[in-house]
Amino acid sequence: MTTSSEPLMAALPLLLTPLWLGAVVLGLVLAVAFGLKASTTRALAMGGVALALVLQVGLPAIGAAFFVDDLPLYQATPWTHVGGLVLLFLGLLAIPLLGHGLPRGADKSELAVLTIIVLLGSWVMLGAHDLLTLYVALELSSFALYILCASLRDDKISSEAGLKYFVLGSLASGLLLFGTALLYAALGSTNFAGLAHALLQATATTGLPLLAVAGLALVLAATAFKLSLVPFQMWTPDVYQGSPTPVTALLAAVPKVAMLVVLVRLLVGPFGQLQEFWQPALMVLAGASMAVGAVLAVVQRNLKRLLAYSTIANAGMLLCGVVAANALGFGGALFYVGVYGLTVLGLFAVIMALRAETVSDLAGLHQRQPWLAAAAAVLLFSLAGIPLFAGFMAKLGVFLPLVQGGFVPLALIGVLASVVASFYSLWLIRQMYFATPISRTLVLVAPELGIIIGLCATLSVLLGLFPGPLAQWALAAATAVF
Amino acid sequence: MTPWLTLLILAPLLGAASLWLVPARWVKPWALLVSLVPLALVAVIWQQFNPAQVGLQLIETHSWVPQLGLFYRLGIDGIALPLLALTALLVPLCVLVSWPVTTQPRGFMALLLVLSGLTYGVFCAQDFILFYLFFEASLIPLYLLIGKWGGENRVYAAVKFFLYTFAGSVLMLVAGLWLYSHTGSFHLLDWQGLNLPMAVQALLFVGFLLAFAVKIPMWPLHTWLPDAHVQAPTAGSVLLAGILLKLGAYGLLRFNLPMLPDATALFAPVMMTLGAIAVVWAALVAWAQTDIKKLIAYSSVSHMGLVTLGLFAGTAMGLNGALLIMLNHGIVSAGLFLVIGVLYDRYHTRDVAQLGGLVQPMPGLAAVTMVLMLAAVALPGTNGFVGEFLALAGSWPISPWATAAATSGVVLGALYMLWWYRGLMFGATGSTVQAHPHVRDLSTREWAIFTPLLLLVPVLGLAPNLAMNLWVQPVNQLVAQATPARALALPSPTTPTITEAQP
Repeated sequence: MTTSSEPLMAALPLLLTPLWLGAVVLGLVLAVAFGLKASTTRALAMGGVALALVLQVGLPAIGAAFFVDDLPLYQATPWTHVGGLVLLFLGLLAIPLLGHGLPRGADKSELAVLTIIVLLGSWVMLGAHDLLTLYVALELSSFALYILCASLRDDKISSEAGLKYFVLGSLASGLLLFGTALLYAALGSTNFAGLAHALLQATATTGLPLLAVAGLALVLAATAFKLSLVPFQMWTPDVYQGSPTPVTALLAAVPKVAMLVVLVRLLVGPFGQLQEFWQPALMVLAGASMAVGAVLAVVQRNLKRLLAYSTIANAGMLLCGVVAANALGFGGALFYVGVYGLTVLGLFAVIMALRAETVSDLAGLHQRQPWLAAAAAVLLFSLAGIPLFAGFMAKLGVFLPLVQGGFVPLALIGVLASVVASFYSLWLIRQMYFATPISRTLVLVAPELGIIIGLCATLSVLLGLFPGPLAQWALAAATAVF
Repeated sequence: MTPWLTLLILAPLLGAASLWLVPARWVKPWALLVSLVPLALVAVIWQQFNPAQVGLQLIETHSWVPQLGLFYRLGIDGIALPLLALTALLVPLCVLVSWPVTTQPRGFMALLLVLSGLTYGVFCAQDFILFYLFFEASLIPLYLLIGKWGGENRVYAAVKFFLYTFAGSVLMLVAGLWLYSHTGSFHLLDWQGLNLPMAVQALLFVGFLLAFAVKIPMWPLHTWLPDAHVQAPTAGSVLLAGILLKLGAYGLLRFNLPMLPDATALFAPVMMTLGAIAVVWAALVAWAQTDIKKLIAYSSVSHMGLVTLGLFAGTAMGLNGALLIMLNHGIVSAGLFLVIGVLYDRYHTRDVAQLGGLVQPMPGLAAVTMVLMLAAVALPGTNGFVGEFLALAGSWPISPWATAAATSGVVLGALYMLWWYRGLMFGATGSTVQAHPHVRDLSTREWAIFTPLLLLVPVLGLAPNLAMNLWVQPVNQLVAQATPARALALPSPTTPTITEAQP
């Protein structure tokens, strides 16, 4: 193995964003050490992410870095670029939520630091071009998330959520590592390009190595765990319910983006030759997730648990775009994950603003706070995929390539699941609009929550009517994947 | 070129938003003013429309989401235009009849206007996704109208309505996506004349049919309708019966009939049988009702059964009849629901046993109701007659048994409507009527509601060509596109046309 001696300077444009995010982490650690107020830390963190976003828009760096045996460990493409923009944007929206919906005294500066670490890890995941880079980046973001989930130290449920997520998450990481080992054993590389090359050669000469298929299965299982796809979804409801609400919001919106981007890169890159194996596997995962998630969401009473099952169903839907395995499908999935993140962040912000726990806490919201109820209704209609709202365009974006690819049965499962899913959205809307309020006390909505809710609802409408620009980005990025 | 159709869609939507800019006491007059704008626009559109021209008119095409091949494509033909006019006519009446609404009138009026704007969109859209968008989005305002301003059991009715229609229409989405992947276009015209294999056509037919059969509603998928109608506020019932039910039949005319002619021929006997069952069955159920609103709701199911019968007969006469029933049922059933609304405002009951002898305190209402009731039972000379006669005469050569059954259903319809009228207006004075001796007859506002409908009953009854002339071209086209297999089923090779009825 030879490590190339290319100067770090050459790779600098590529590393600008992760280096900057790392610097933000260090700066925030200092801020914590100096005892800055949590709200100030959050503001600094937001500024840092906003600047990273500006950097990324201004200097879209495409290229590869850290060559080992002439193969890069890290590679930025237009696909990772757009995925990164979605990631940072959702991260930017998630940070102001951090101080809300927590018990008294739990609003700590550390939450902002850990969130930036999640973003940093996810960012590196996007560009990972080697299974080991991927592993390290995934662990970086996952460990920060484990701590965030357990951040209410005195709360049993939060600790339980953190522990559960940690144990099961470690299992998934183990699967990824084991899959990597099998792939290395079979093909002699852990690099994406190296694997693709070796697989091509192996199939041409000695036939398909079964060990590689086993490796693929393990890597897919690890991915499915992080995307909370059935049957790897077990952790999701408990972790969502137990974690502090702002952390649940982060968990629902941000890691999914990185995981999707990586999944697509893996499937077209190293596993491009194995499409006949992964496509049916993903079909099963997608169909099962949509059906199980939608049906189980209907019977939930706890709002966070309900949204957890909804996440499972939505993960299945975005996977439909991946199943289609063409640029339109991948672009649709990216659009979907962005819209879903936006919707779910808005909804969690509503939950936090009201400090609502169960569905009945929403009763009569319309009579108390009509604007908040209207925004929540928009977000819920969007989640249900009703036209006029972004959720519909997102569903169209994944189901259209799916039907085009001839996967009509899966599309039928998908639309039927979305009917079932619309039931709980309607149910929440019905609580807000048709039920009589239990209490008439007005909840004072914190300004930053109000802004986030308003922004998410507005974007849900705008992207529902004019999805063009974002769809164009997603499609262009997805076209560059191949 | 002025984009009249876009203006027609946008006017009520923007008008709804503008309600938040006027002070509370001006909300209702402002809503009325806004609702009159589409009426003026429809007048302009009608004037620009040329019935002799084949194909779509007033076309607007803009790229919308090029990545997914979506276009903003509007256009109307002679089938859509009268339905647009009907909508534009009914919405101001709905605003007027909702004058007594006191809980959040702003939201109520806004939802009415939004609903009408989306309905214009459905009738104008010529791109599948745009059509689907308007079709589905129209569920939201009605869901909120029923759930918020409806009767005692409103929430159940609202959810049932939403889920039924949503579940029906998602399969249409898949069918549409399949057609897109087959043709590479969402333009509805591009989906005609594809000559698909029978098995594919049959599957697509079922996909589209479920969406529209729920909307029509076709027996046995109608069970949401009585609930929704009874629980909806008057304006909601009027729009539901007057316009939204027509979306189903309109969809069949836009999708199933022209795009899937072979499957239409295959399923026509089943559809006509279902239509006949709906006519008879709903008439019998209506007869058994004590709730005056539920009775009218079931009579809607019965009338729409006739529409189904006429549509799938596939003859020019049957199609003309079906289209006329759609239009006239929109006028008459809307009128009857308005009558019920007026009564409910005064007596707060819909139980026929508590009402009765209303001709004494309210002779004006009794007269209005009589005209509408006679139109509903298709008395010759009223608008109801021509449509029902044509639909039945048009389906007779295709399916005598179904037609015979449906005709007996029509007779039953006359029976229960006269029964209903007798119980309501004559007979012993009901307990609630006795309890409120000083009830006013129709006010000026209420006369303003009924006058246009009362005028249309004899006008369209005596001069149905006013409407029928509009859809000569599209109907001829539908008949021409129909699969020859069905034409062979006719006793004579030439389909009976209505040309001799034209001036």
